[in-house]
Amino acid sequence: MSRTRLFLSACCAAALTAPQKSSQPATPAKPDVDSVKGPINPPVQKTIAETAPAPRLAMIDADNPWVEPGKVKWHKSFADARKAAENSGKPVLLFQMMGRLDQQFT
Amino acid sequence: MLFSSDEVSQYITDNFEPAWESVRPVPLVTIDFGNGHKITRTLNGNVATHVCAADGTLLDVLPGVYTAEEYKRQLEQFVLLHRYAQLPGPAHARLKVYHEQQAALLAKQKAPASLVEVRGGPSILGIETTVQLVASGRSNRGVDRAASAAPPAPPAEKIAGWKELAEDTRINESLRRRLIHEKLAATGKVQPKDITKWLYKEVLKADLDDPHLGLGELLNRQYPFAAEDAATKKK
Repeated sequence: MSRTRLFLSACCAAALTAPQKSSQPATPAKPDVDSVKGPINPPVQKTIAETAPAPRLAMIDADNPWVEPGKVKWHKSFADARKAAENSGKPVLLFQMMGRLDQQFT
Repeated sequence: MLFSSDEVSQYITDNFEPAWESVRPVPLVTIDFGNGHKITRTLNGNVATHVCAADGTLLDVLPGVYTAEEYKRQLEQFVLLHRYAQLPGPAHARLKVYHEQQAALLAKQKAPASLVEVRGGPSILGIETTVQLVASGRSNRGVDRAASAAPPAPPAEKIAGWKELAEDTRINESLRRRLIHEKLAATGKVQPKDITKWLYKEVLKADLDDPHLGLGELLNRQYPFAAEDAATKKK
């Protein structure tokens, strides 16, 4: 067999065995099976609502809407405030309350 | 309220590393008038302001709400207390004496001692300042202190709320602070979480372990259908 025929045969063989990406539809990835279906369960939602100072939540409660927590630059947690105090030398101020500082009724 | 005040907020931001936390959801009362109108109010909110060292050691606590002026004055004392705790020598012993002295003064209805900054001796860094605890010698008659701490009276329509806040400030600075000083003098080194339940139950009168926050008897005392509701719940 001539070199040219041999080369052409090799090319055809390669083409036939190459994955046919463009002609076949992609196999869809198997979706993650999430066993928790539907809205967040009430106990979990309650825990999130009570954990402070969590990031702003949109309308936890229609009767107690979200408000700005004053003009103080609050750290996200007592632990964060303590870490900052180690560097700054300032005392830590921890404000405890019933309810949330970022809700209208406290 | 307090943290909406520019002066108080700026002072806190400049002089502390502040954080807030919720001890439990606030109880709300909602009255539905049935015609689309509703009113919502809080039933028994209560707050406490703690000052701590960087390692979390609790130095002192302000119970409840204060007028803005008195609150800022107390925060200034907290800044000095933090410096006082860092003076040479065992901090725990110094704080114990501080709390014992304050509790004793309040028990005698005298004004608590104040922390003041005084000039110390010269050093290679210049003239240093230090902090001392100085007894005022004044009476702690609540009316006088509340009157001096409170701002000028607001317009007539808001005067009831102002009087209530001034009265709250007076009670906080007499009875409630005494209980806190006695507690902190008796305990060893603690963090805020170690005394939270005690503070809310014994000082702020809102037992966190009671689902009705101590208000069950008051609310049910003259409620005519209490027995009927209890029987229905059992079913």
